[in-house]
Amino acid sequence: MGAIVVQLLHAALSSATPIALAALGGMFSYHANVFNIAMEGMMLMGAYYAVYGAYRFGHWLYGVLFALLSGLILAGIFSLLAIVLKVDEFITGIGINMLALGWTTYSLRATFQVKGAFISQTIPPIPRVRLPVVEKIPFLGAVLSSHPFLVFVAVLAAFVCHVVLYQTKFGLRLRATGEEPAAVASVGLSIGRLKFWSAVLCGIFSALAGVYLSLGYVTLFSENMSNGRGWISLAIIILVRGRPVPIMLMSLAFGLLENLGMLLQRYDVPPQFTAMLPYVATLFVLYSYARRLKTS
Amino acid sequence: MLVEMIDICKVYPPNVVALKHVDFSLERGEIHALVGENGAGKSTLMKILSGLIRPSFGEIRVNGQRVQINSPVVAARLGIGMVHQELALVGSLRVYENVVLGSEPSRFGLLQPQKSSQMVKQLAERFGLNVDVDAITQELSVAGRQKVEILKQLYRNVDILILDEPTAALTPQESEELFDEMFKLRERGKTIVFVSHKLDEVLKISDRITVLRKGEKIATVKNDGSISAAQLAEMMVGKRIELVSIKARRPAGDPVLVVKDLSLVDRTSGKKLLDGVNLTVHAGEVVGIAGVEGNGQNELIEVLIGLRKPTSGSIKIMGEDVTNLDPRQRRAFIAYVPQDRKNVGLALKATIMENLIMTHHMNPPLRRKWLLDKSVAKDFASRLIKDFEIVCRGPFEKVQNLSGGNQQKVVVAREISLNRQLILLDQPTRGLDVASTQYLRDQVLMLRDSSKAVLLVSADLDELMDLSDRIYVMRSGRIVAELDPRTVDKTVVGYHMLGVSA
Amino acid sequence: MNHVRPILQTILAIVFAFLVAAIFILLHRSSPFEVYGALYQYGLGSWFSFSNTLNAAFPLILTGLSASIAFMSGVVNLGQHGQFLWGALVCAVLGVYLRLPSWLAVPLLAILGGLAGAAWAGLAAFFKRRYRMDEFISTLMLNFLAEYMTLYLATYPFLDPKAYVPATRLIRPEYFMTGVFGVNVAFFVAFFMVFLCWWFAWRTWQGYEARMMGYNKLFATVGGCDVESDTTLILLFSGFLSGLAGALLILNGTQHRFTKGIGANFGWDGVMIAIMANNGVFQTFFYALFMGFLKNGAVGMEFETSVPSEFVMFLQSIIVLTLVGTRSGIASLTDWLRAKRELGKLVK
Repeated sequence: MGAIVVQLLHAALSSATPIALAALGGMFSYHANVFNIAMEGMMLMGAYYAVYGAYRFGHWLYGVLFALLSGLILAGIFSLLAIVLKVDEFITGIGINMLALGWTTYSLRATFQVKGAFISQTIPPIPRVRLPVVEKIPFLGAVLSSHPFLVFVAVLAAFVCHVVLYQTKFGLRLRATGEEPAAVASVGLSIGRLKFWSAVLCGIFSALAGVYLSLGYVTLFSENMSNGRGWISLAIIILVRGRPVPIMLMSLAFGLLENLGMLLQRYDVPPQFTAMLPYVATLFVLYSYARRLKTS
Repeated sequence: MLVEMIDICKVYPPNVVALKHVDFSLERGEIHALVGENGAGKSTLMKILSGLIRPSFGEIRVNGQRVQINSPVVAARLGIGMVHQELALVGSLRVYENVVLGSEPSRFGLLQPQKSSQMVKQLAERFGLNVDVDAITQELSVAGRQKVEILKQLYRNVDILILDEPTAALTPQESEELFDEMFKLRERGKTIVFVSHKLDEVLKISDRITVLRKGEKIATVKNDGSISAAQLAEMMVGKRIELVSIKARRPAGDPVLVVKDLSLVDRTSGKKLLDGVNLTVHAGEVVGIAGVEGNGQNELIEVLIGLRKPTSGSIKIMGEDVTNLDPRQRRAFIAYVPQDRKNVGLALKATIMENLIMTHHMNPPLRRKWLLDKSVAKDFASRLIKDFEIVCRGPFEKVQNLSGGNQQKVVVAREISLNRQLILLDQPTRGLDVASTQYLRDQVLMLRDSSKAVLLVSADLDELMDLSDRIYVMRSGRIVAELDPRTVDKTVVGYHMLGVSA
Repeated sequence: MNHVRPILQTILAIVFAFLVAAIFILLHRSSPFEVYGALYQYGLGSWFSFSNTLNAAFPLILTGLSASIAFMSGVVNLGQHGQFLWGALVCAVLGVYLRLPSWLAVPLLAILGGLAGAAWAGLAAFFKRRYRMDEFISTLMLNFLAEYMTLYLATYPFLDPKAYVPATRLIRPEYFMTGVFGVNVAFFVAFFMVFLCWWFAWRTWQGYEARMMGYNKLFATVGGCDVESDTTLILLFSGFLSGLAGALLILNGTQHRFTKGIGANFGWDGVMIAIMANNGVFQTFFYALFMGFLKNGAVGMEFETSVPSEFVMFLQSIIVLTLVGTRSGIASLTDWLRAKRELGKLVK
């Protein structure tokens, strides 16, 4: 039984990582009061270009590099439309998600000549990190050790984001932009620029989430592989009102749930039902959020 | 000359001409009043000077040097800062955070809260502004928040302080305190622009006065006793308009609205937003609600119209208990002119007709079972446009193309033509020019004379005193006084609003 | 003038979008002329192509209307996909087991499919009304649930043992809907729904309330509209349209059965169509035809050139983004130009 629990927690941490990364990215937009729902697309694009870069140039670092570039480009398109041309943010977000889906599906076919998924032994995954001391601690060591390094980046990022948001100039201005743009404008700061940076951060984090999906969690790219994780991260952001550390904790809860499904499969529950768990959980999250609003 | 603005023009896209060839100048150490009615271009001119918007044409000189003021940062560098009418503060931040926002003391990007707080505290002491710099900003009163705005500018070391309608939401006593602070600032060498349309205040405190009308400068005069309020008013409006005072009233009739022990508790904070409110409005009277903004007036209106459910208490309209009815059902009794016409009173992107038939659409002849009768709707809208003199190109024009006054007329036309017994008016004249204000006041008195019950909430004490038969004063969610405007003075109302004894 | 300008804007934006896409075709080392030529040839070139375009468009018209009607009322129903799937599944399953004369069964199956979609949307409406859960995320999540649930049903209880992928059995052949001159009857049903939607939105009393709610919800609430009931009604109606799309695809498509991955992107296509159409009913019809043209032409494009049909998915999104961007850009540009002209008059 102990072994199963260890396995479960290990897998939960792993599944939580892409959701947490995307949510931390979206958090910046949340605080800048940008209704950014493009995490799904940015993640998908990141996942594709991670595989592309790593496969083409033979090193995972190229994967990260290409993914980040793709995230920045999408953030740029988002800013161009939503901030410069003042298109509705929601519409822009949907457009970007569609763009990512269309482009990756097309590129998959055009570049790798495959439909559905690209799998190859020669895609170099991101390295796994063994924690020298922690590893020796009986239970904890097994849960925490030998994860792809992005898992630790995600955990660390939650704390760094907390500091950035609440203890830096940038964070103060960002929160001010979200709450009272007039205050920010009245002291001569550019609201557009702050929103732009929030989009850029969202692009970076979501792309990293994508890298983790296609080079960490598994080592392949398949069509629409983000599979709603961007939307789940959005629900989490809304639920915890954009606080970084709770975002991490909620993501962990989702990770746990996703893997609980795999546990259930041992008891002959059809996979279609266990696969639903994260989405049911998201509905539940929404329910508890609405309930809290109602009673408070 | 400290500042010269020469031949300034401003056109807002697409085609709103806000300023036409305006000249304006400031001398060091003066209090310069800028007067004009709503829409005259006062705020636009000052926003140009403070770098928030750019002029379409014209030039600005500071100390004789020609300058381009592209942003508030440049303005601050030139020593110019503005306190806006809608205070631009972040409510959840602390006072000192609001003050330092944009030029925060920091090390490697990390904030230094102690240092910031200390600096702001010293600044406040130096200029004699009494405010708790560590408080959460949204917990301060309007007057308090205004001080924060002034501090914000002083922190940026400005020499020229522009105050845009600073007394609009203040009680008479708070206004006095503000004037004292302005004099103190002048003593310390600051130059102040006082934007206002309250002529008595302008005459009381300013050294020079510039009058704007419809985007044009009419005159700049020295305030040395040679000019009277009446003369200023004539310059402002162009022709003499006397705002009507209350006319002979008939005795009030039966009670229409009876509110008993109405309370509303905020579930998160446990704060009592409304606390045992009792009030009655009779047929044929106008009852005013006075109070410093944020003392429960908005909540009272929301509870009356049915947007929020009261925690306890009852509301009766014409003898019927409506406490548990939703807005749809209550509208059978109530006509309502909301404070925020753009977000509550109108659908800006819809046509005038669609806006005019709202609420009317629930009943025949507009509604025919499943359908909405388009030809009836069109006739109805055309009639209201004519009766209420709404200036527009026809019933199918979008409301967003109308001027503020005409938009308000759309709301008022719709609500009055509902012919309800109770009429709620929430800041009905805010942001309107004199002609529209006059129009609205006439409408209110006509309603009263046709035996309607009118409840009027207003931040404008003069308006309340002029129109109301009785005035309730609200403070901290409670009705603290019931006054007769014919027997008490404006300052007495102010004392009750503030909670200090006369 | 008032009607000409948006049309000109649209044409300009579409041309611009095709130019942007041409760059990507060049990057793919193909000739944009050939690619667009093939698109045209197979999408509009002959009556056969054109009728195929209409046939490709009918589900898009319906999911597009589903999104437009919802968005115009300020109801963010993004659950077209799930509602579509339930409509398709219910129709496919009942089409196997129901035994009725076909003149009765076919309309019944279509309506039942629509009702299934409405019921699935009704779940979101229930969540909204009872628990105040935002429909935006709940409909999205319900998409995933619908996908897995219908897949389960097609994989286990209703599986056709002879099929290679999870699929239900063929519906009874007498229920297959036919066409007129090669145009599916389903297209005419969709066309009728366009008029029904227009009539609802612009002639009925609840359509008025719904539109006002879309402009400004608070205004509608204070004005006495029953926003809760209106929202529920809109969600049900919107779900019905998507469900109908699914059912008609079973009855009048090519497969006549529910398979894994059926109607892959009709839901999001509908959302994109509504966005391009600015939620207008007739515009939705037009853009759905346009999308149908692209989809239908894509087959030919792949056949004639080296560009894979997936390129059209990308092309669609590029068109959406350039269209909304250009529209918004032109609007601020014309405002700016008008301001310039006004100033010119002033300082002459």
